[in-house]
Amino acid sequence: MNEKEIIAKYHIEDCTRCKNECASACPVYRHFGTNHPQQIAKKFLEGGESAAHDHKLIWTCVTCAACTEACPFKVAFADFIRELRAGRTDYHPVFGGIIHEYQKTQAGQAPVQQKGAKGAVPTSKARLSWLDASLRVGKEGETALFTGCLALFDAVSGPSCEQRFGDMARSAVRLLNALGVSPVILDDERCCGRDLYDLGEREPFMALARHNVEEITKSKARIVLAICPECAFTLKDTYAKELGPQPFEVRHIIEFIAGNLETLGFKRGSEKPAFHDPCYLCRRLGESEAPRKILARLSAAKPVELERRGSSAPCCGAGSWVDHGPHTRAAVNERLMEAHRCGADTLVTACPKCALLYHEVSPGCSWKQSPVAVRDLITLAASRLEE
Amino acid sequence: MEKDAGKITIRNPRDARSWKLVPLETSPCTLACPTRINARGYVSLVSDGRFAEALALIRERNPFPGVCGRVCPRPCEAACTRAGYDEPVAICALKRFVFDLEMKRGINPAVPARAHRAEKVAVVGAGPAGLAAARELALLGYPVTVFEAKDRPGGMMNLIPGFRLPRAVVARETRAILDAGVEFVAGTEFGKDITWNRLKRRGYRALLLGTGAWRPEWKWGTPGIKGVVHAIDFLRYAALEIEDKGVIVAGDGMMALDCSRTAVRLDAKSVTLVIGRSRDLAPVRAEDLVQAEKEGVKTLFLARPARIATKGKRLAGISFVKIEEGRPDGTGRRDTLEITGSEFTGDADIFVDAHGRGINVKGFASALALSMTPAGALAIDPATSVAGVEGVFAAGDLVTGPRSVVEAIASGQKAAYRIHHYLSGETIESPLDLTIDGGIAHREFTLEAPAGAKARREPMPLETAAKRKKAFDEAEKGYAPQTARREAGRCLRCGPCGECEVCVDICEKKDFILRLGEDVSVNVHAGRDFWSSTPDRVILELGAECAEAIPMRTLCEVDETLCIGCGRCADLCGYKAVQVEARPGGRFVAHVDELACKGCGSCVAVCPTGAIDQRNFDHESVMKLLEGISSSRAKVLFVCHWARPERLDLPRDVLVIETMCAGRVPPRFIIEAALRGSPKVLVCGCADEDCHYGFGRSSARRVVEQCRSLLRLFGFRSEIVTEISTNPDEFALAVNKWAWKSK
Repeated sequence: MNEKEIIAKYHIEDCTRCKNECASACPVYRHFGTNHPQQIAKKFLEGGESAAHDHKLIWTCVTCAACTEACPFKVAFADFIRELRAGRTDYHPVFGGIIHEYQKTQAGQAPVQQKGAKGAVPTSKARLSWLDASLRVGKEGETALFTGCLALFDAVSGPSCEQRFGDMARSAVRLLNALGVSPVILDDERCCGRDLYDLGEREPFMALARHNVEEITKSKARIVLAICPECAFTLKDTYAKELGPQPFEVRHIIEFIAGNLETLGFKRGSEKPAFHDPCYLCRRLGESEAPRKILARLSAAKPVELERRGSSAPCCGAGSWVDHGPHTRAAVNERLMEAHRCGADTLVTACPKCALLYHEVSPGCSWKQSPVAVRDLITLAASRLEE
Repeated sequence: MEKDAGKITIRNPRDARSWKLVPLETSPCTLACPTRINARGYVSLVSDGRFAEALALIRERNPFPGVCGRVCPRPCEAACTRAGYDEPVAICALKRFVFDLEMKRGINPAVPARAHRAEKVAVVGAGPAGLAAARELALLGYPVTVFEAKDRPGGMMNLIPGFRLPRAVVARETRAILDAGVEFVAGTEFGKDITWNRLKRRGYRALLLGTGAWRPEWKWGTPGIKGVVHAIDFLRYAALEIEDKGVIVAGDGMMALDCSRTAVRLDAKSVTLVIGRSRDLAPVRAEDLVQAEKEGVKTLFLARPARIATKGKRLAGISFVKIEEGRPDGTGRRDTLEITGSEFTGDADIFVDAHGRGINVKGFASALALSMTPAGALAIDPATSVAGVEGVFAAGDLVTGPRSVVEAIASGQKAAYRIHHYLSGETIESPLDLTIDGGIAHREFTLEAPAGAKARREPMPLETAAKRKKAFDEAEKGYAPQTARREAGRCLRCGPCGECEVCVDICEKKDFILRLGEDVSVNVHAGRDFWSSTPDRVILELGAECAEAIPMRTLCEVDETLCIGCGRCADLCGYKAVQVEARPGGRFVAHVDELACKGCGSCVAVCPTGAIDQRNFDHESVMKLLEGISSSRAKVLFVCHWARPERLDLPRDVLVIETMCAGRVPPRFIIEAALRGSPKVLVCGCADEDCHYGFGRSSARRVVEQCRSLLRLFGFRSEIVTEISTNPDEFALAVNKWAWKSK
C-alpha cells in the first residue's frame, strides 16, 4: 500500500491539528510527553512513510483507540499505525516472544514444522486442560464459547501471578451452565489473531481468521460468546471487515450474562470494587453498562466509579505484548493509585490481558505491595454464584 | 623481590615469564601460617562454592591439605581477626572439607611434573618435610628420589592414630606427590643401606636430610622395664596387651593425648593422662582434649611423675608430684615449679612416657660432618640450610626439633628453594619469606559489626563418644557443603581482596600485577573476563606485555526503555545485586549493582520484557546458535559452563549451548529449539551443593516445569525437555546417557 492509499484508507488528512485532543487521551504520550498520534500523522503527511517511522510511537502504541475516541473527527489512528507496522519486525516482544510465537505457530508459521507433527500443532488438547467433568459443554449447539489464549497466559505467567486463567474459562462455563446454556467448545479453536493483526502481520492473521470461521461454521453455532473482549471484537468486527459478513452473531460473555441477570442469584462479598473498563469492551464494543450491572450484584458495597471510566478509561498497557517499558509500569501504577484514591480496594476487569498485566507488573512484588487487589469479573461472578 | 613505589611484585617460581599476584598487604591468617598459605583466598572460594579452585589454591602452598585439615595446630585460627570478636573462622576444617570432597569423588590430584633439569636430588625421609621438598623440587624440574627407611611414605604422619587422621588420607596425599614424578625407594636406611658418597657416585648433586625425630626421649621411665613404654613405640606398635589394664600416660603434647585415646580404644581398664600444664596452657587442641575426656580419659593437670618404682624388671608403682606455673618470662613462657611435699602415688599396670622425641643422626653424623645445637637439633647454616658438608641440606624436625606437620612442610619447602639456588644459582622469592619485617604489613582491622552480629562457628559434626571408644574410625566427620559455605561466609576478608587468583588463571596472557588499596577496578581484556570477590578494592595493573585494557563493565545490563520495574529480577537475585529503583515521575527501573553481580543470568531468564541482557552468553548469540537446528535437527544441551562441559564426548548430533548457569535458560530458548525441530532438549546444571550461585538449580527447574506446559500447548510432547542436576562425578555419565539414548 503506498502513501496515497494509506491516506485515502485511514483518512489521515481529516486530522485538523486540533489542540491535541488525541495526545491528552494517549496513555503512551502521558508517559513520554512526546510523540502522539497527531504528531505522527503530521510527519507522515509531510515527509511520507519513512519520516513517520518513529520507533517509540509505532511500537509502544497499545492500539487502545483512546485517541480516536477523543478525536473530534474520529480519525482511526490505531489502524493507521498498524499499517505503518506492516512488514517490520524491529519490536521487543514481551515474555520472550512466546505469545507471538504461539500465535504464529497456530497460523501454521512455525520456523520449521516438526516432522511427523501436523505443523501448526492445532489439535493440542492442553488448551482445554481446565475443562472438568462438573462442567456441561457440547460439541454442537446454538451457543459456542470462544476461550482465547487463556491456557497460554497460564503458562507464561510468572510465579507471582495470582490469577489462574484456566479458572476464568471454567468460571465462564459455570455461569453459562447456571443460565441453562451448555456452550459448544470448539474442537480446534485457535487464537483470534488480534495481536498479530495489530502488529501488521496480516498473513498469519488471515490464516487464523479463515480457520476459526470454518470451525465455528462447522459447529453450527449461531451465537459465539467470547471470554476476552479482544476476541469478541476481532470475531465480530475484524473478521467481518476482512472476510465479509459471517453467519453467526458474536457477543462478549459479559453482555450475554448481563442480559439474563435476573435468573442468577449471587452472594454479596465484602470488598469495595471498582470496574476498570477494558479498551476493546468500552470503546470498540461500546459496552460499559453490562459489567457494572453484574458488579453491582456481587458486592454489599456500592461499586466505586473511577475518575476515568467508560469510553474514556485508559488502557492497562498490555497492547500487543510488545515494547513494554516504564510507561507500562506507570500506566498500571497510575490506574491502581486512581482506584485507591477513589476508595476502592479491588479493581475488577473483564479482560484477561488486563488481569495478566496487572498481576505481572504490580502486586505480589515483595518490594511494593499494592493496596488494591485485581480481580477478574467472570471469575469473581462465578465464585459468588448461589448454588 | 623488586620493590618500588607502593607495590611489590614477585616472580612466580614455577614460571619465570608470568607474574604472581602478591598483595601489598596480607591477612593475619596467612602471616600466621608457616607455609604462608593463602587462607583468606581459599576461604573466599569456599564461601563462593568454588571448591575445586579452593583446593588448588591450598595446594599451591601446602601439599597436605587432608592431613593439615585434620591435625594442624592452626596458628591461623589463633590469629583470625574474628577470634577477638566471637570465634575464629574454622579455616582448618574448611581445608579438610575441600579435600574430603575431592577424595569422596575419587579425583586424582596428581599434577605430573616434567623433569627437565639434569641435577639429581636425593631426599632422605618421606615425611612431610621430605615430601614437601621433593614436590617443590620436582615442580622446579629436578629428578628427585626419596629414600625411606620404613616400608611406606608418610613418616611421623603415620603415627597419628586413625581416629584423628585416617591412614587412607595419608596414603592418598603421599601418593599424589609420588605420582607427580618423584621416585620413591622404600626400606632403605640412610647411613646403612646407602651413603652420601655412594649417592654422589650415582650422580646425585644434592641431598636433603629429612629423617625427623624418631628417637624415643625418655624422661621418667627407662627402657627395658616391663610395663613401661615410650609413646613412639606405643603408637607404632599399638597392639600391646593392655586390655583390662590400668594405663597412665604422662606428657604435655598431642602425642600424650593420642596415646591416651588409643589406650581407651584398646579396652584399657582405666586411662589417666598426666599433664604438666594447666588446661589453658597445655599445648594440645582444646577440642581433642574435650573429646578425649568424653571418651573416658581421666586428665590430671599440673602434675608430673616423680619416681618410677620397679620390682625386678617390672613396673611396681609411680609417684607423682604436683607443680605450679610460674610467672611468664620475657618470651611469655611460664616456668613450672614442683611443689615440695605434694607427692602422691598412682596405680597403673602400664606407664607410657610421652615426654618427647629426639633426632637420631648417629648412623651418618660423622660421615657428613654434622654438628648439633645445644637443644639437641641438627645445626644448619640458617641462610643456606646447609648441614655439614657441601651439598647436604636438612629440613623438618631434624632442624626444628619435634614440631607440627605444617612447620615441617614449610621447612621442607624452604630447603627445596635453597637447593634450587645451590644447583642453579637462581633465587626464588617465595611467600615463605614474607614477614612483617620484610615490608609486608597487615593492617589492624577493627570490627564495626553491630551488636547482635556475632555468629558462632559452625560446630564440627562428631561421632558419638560411645562409638568412638569402640573403634579407630575418624572422630570428626567434617562439614557438609552447605555448612562449609556458611562457615566460610563468616570470614571478614581482612585485607583488600580475596586473593583467589582466579583472575590469573583466566587471563590468557597471565601478565598483570595486583595492586591493592585503591577504589578503582580495571578489567583485563584477554578473551575472557574474570571475577573477583571484592573488585571494589582491587586494582589490576597491566604488565608490560599486555597492552590492552578496557574498563570494567557490568555483567548484566538493563535497558531502561524496556524495563517495567516488575521486580521479578530483584526477587530472584541471590546476591541482592538487582534492585528496583524509583525514578522521578512514578517510574520504577531495575538497577544492577555491578560490584555485587556475579553474572549468573537468572534475572535475564525471568525478565518478562527482555530488558536485561548479559554480556556473556547473551540472548542474541544463543538465538543465532538455535537457528542452526532448522537444518541439523540437533538435540540441544543447555549446560552450565561451571559444569565444565568441555570434558564431554558427545555424539555429533548434539548442539551444546553453554550458559553462565542452568538458571539462565529462559523458556523462549527451549520453545525455539522445539519449534525448529530439535527432538529433545536437556537443561543440565549442577547439584544444589555444587551450584556456583546457589540458586541456579531451582530456577532451572522452574523454567523446565513451565516449558512442559508450554510445549504441550504448542502441541509437542512435554518430554522433549528434561532437566538434570548432577554432581561432577556423574555429570558426564548422565549427559551421555541422555545424548546416546535414541528416543
